[in-house]
Amino acid sequence: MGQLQLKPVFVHNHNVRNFQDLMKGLMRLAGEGRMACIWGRAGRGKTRTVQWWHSQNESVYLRMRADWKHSRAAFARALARELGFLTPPWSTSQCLDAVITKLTDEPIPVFIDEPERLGRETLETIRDLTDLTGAPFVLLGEEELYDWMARERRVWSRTAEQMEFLPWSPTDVIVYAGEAAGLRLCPEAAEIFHRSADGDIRIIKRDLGTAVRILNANGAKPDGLTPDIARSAVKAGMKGRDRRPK
Amino acid sequence: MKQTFAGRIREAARALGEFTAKDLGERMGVKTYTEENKIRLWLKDFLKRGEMRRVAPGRYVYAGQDRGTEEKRQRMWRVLRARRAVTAADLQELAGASAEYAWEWLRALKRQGLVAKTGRTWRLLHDPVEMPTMRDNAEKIRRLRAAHKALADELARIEQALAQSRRALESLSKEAL
Repeated sequence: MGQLQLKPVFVHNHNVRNFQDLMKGLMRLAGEGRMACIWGRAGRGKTRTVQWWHSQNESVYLRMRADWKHSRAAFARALARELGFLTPPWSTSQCLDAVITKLTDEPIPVFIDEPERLGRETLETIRDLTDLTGAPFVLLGEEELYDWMARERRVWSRTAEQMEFLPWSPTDVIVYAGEAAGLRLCPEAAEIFHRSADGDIRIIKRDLGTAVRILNANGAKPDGLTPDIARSAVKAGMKGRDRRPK
Repeated sequence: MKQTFAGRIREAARALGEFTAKDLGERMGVKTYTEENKIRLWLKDFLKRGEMRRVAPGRYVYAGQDRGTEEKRQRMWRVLRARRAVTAADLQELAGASAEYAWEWLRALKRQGLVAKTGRTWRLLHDPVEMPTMRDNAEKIRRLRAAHKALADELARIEQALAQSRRALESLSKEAL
């Protein structure tokens, strides 16, 4: 019997399907200034899903940096570079002019990851950019992003789509285990992984990796991942929640 | 710039439309048996990757270069730029590349000084924005070329040995007569 292995696979779960629908919806509104808000707790696959979509479609992906908080110029220059300007103009307004010209010619989706790190004035800039160019701007961040955007009425009224990334369900765990390692996971074992990780993808993957190592050490069988092994893997792995004695 | 042998075959094939291996050789101005043999070996390779199609026994048409690889590279390039640091597994998962191809591509970028490897992670050192053109060919193609060359050399050696034996046999028969 060969050794089991967790292969890197991208699982098309409900979050990915909802995201694809959101992007289709945004594209249908071509020509109008529009924004989208994608939020969810860390470890739910927001960034990975967006990067997967970005890899297959002409788009711009920009991850905000904390040091841009008070520098609209840094944001403008980074956006210009992403749009293909090797040496963007130094002046912020010239830089934004270049971005506007480029996005008007080619209104491709722009993903802004962790925009909460920026100041309100950058949000205003994004609103201007989507209004002037008709390119969709998709903002993704953690739970506070929703309130951050909703507080600004002029921004919220332009938000055509919104979506929350939900935790992985036990079904997602079963599908992932099957696709990544060919494991036939019983619902009870899937529930153990799910509950321990609180739906966090990174922790589920880590615990499943531990389970695969346990299985390999005991003569691997694709249907051998019992609830007991799942419990041992979860116990051996790092926990999703703080389990220190209170 | 000196054209590669494959490039010369492509050029001849495009000009001919429908052709045989012999037509290709004539068009390319091939003079030796070794080169003719090399054309046959390359033809097999072109057929295998779908760049040429067989329309009748011994007759082929040029179907054009596969854009799939180019697209895959573009996808990997977007993932690398978005993440700034990737593992081969990230490229497999997000760009749909095979592990082998992801490694090959990352190693080619390293040779160009665009990425550096730390542990399992490849970090983007310098971002030229546009996807870099692969200055050197993929390792697989280079291995294939080396194998082709070794085979062609071996065939030439056999051919030479055969000619020598033929000559020796002829002189022996003359002496016997």
